[in-house]
Amino acid sequence: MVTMCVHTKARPLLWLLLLTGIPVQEAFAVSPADSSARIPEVTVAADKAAETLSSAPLQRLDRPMMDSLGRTELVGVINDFAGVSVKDYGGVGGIKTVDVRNMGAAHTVVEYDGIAMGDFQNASVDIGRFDLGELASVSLEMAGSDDIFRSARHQLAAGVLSVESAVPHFDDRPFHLSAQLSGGSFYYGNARLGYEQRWGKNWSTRLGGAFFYAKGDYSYLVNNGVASTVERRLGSESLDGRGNFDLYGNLGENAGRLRLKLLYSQAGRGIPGPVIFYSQDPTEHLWNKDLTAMLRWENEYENGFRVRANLSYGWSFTRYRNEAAHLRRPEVDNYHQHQLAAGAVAAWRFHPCWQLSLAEDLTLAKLDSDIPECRFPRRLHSATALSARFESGRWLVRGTVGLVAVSDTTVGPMAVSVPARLYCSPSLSASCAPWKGLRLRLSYKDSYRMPSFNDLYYARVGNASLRPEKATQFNLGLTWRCRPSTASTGPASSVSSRAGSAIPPVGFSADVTADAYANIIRDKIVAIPKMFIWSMRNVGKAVAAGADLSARFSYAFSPRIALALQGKYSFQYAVDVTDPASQTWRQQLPYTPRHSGGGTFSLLTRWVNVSYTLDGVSERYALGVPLPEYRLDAYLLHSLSLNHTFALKGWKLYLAFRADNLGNARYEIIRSYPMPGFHWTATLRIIL
Amino acid sequence: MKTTLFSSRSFGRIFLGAALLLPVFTSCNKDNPTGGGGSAPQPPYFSKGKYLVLNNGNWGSNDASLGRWEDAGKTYYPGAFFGINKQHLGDLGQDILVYGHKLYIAVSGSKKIFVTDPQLKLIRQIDPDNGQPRHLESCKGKVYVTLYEGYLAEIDTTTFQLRKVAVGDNPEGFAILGGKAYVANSGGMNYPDYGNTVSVVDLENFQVEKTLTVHDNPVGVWALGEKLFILSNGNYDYGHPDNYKAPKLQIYDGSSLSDSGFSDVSMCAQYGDMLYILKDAYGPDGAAVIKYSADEGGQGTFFPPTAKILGAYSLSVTKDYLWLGTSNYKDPGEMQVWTREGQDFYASFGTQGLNPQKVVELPE
Repeated sequence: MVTMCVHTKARPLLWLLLLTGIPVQEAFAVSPADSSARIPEVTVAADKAAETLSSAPLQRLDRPMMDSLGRTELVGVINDFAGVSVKDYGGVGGIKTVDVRNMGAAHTVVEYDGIAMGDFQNASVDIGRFDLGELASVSLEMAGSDDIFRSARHQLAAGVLSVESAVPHFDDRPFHLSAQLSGGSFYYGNARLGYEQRWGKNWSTRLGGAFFYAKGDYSYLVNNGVASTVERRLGSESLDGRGNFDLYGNLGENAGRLRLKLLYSQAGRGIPGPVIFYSQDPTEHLWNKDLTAMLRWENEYENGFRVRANLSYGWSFTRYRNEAAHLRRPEVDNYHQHQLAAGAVAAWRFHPCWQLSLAEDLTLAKLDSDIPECRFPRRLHSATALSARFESGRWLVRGTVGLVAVSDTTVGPMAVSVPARLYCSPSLSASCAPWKGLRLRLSYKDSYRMPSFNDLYYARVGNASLRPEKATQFNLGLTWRCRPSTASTGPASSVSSRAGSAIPPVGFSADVTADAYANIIRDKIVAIPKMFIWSMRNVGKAVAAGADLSARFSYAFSPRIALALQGKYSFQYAVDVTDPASQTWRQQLPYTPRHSGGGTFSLLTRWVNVSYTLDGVSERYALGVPLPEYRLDAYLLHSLSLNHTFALKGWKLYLAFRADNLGNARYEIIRSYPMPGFHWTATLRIIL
Repeated sequence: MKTTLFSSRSFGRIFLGAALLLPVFTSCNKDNPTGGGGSAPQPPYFSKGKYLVLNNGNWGSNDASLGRWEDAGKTYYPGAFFGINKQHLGDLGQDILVYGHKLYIAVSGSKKIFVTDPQLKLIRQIDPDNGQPRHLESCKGKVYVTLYEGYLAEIDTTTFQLRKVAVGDNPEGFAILGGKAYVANSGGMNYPDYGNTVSVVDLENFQVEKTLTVHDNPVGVWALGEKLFILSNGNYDYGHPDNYKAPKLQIYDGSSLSDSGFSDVSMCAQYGDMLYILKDAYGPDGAAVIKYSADEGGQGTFFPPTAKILGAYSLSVTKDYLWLGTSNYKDPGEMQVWTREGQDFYASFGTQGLNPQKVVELPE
């Protein structure tokens, strides 16, 4: 009879574990190829965009493609990638986390312009809070990366989702003005303004701001036999405002480039919680304020030496409020976090075929809160990566040895002593091109997911003696790339195609990747019950074997008209191997479909782009034991997008309309969190 | 796998004629053993040897469920409630009670009390005033229920009208003795400042008569003879020896409070004048159950050392059996059945639902 108390108590905790305060940076990695720099590395940077040239799985979508698909949400873009799933708690304000190949969301580092988002309180990042309108590209890497000129944290992560904002590019006038308005179902509205200015030959700035509002009151089916009803989702209203300032500077010949980034966002939203039969009574709210500041400098030298250094600071504030009637007074929890990070990476190409790099990230973080028995954790986190890369015309081999050291302290009356942690994570990848266009790749990677502050120190639940979760990945793949013989050798729709055309070069193009993988997760951090209170333990072990297939074909009849087909498919066998005596032994992990896939057929013309997307997921179970009552049905979603870019006397106008879930499918990704049925979005963007 | 089970035809046979016969309840103890003398012979409207198992489910999953276990053949049939009513119980099944040839099911997350007839057919859905029902007891034609929002409510079993009285924060279990309800106010939501009171409610005028101060975090009360046994969970803070308050089973004799002497008590269940005390549910050596009689004290222990029981979640006692539900909170639970008299292992089965919460025997 007392157990309910645990469940209810687990509620705020659950949210805290899932939620993430926004940013806080680590180090910066990839600087998007800066148009003003004329260095050989630009080709390297462009090459890394090509999925088919990478020695480990890499998927990428650029602005022209996003526009031609009419995508308005980052989640939609990620759904086009193979081998990744978004754990979506439904609706606009619902938490959305990225899980790469079933390793768990905490194994994916999410980077925004090279800044690792998320914090040490929670291990996973809510990607629902990114503003796709601001982004120029989205890419996903797993099981390693060829680019060794990256932050240590990036190089050592099991999976990396990188989103990058557009770098100002001035052809004619010294400034750009952009404005965008979007609206859609369930009172969704978004307004954005951006201004870019060039200051002389070497400096430019970008200023932007955006507002979002959504009521999110979509209808859903309460699937309860004869008592089934159609209800409206209550309590998911959200309002979000953000601003950013970017400064790009060229310090002159041999003095390098400078970048300053300031981000601020403030958001408030209701937490609708799971759908409870017979009772809909949302009482929870969440507010966030986040500030991120980052300064980065990078330079290249004649002798093949490159260096990048950065300094960043992040502050985040989270307030959670619950007004449930069973609380004597509303529960209000406040969290303040600070993170200060310094990072550097140096790479040296000492031979045309050989490159070495050394990267170091140092982060200081602290969490203060007024929750009962807060332990006020402080962390010093160091990540070091030493990498070597060899490439010749046919071969590419990369090896990395990483070292992660974490030292935590806690203060106050509830302080606990915490041992320092030190881990070594090696990785290796290689690819070879036996025939033209065809490439074979192989990679191995060991990585660690450090326990979060919540895992370690959350009052009575946390366990200060946790070890990190360890992920081991093996990947074997084959890629095929074909370009029309007339086209230039560069990647089809490269980063720089700001002109907005998604039409590929005339002729037939294809990019196909097929990968088979095996993952082992050891020391999984799991909450286990102990006398009404849960405790975090390193008890889980899971193995996954799967295959990811992605393909992009296009045929351009002329520079004015093209057909494109892109598709993805994933097979996943991911099972629990913790305890042979348990019911879940060798059963598919919860929420893991055996099959998932989708495809988009696009007609790209100079007048209008039309695309039709199918996205399907096979049945899954919400439990580790496949009982019928816990089955989540398979679903297939249809969506349609129409868009067009006009050019009018120096003005550029982008108009888009997108309709999602045309079949009004009633489905859930997470049990008790229904997803919206049919909904639409319309967007108007003006760029001067 | 199909989950429908109760064939309505067989139920029709079983219940034939039964509906007209109202059992006479002479006591306020819902588990009053038959043959204790005084009570009229009860009609066999549920056939002998059938038990209902309530699965609490997982928070936010709407997976509370009822299953039926039959002694003959030792067979378990899940999905009893849905099979008959074609609708689910909802979120977090908290307690079940058989009273006055009706079954009452308290579902806390969904804020409902379902009332069924002997065929398990739903006859009423009570909205307990937007409160979360926690624990059910019956007395003199009324059913009483604690509401987590801080109330004890009384349900009239003919009109299903509700009246309620404010008690302490987050009340859990309670017992009825001498026309009074003793309600454990856990204050579980006021963590780390758990409650430490028991409200005494006079059931005649339905007012709080007085408030007893007990150990921290009281969660259950049982009446044995003239004594009340009050179980408090303490503050769970075993990580900090200087701050830790261990669970405690206290005895209230009507005027003063004393310690029962049992340590590490995790849960209790009552049958007649016997209290079954489960100790060390989470200890490394597994749980133990002590049978305690108000007259004779503690006697014997269930679960010999060879049967190390881990993950004890609930304890129920019926006339012939002791039921120990085990759970890891993420997979379907299991039930172990031991004979009450012989203290021997009898059967075990998977409950096909999360967190097996309670077992009741259906009246003959």
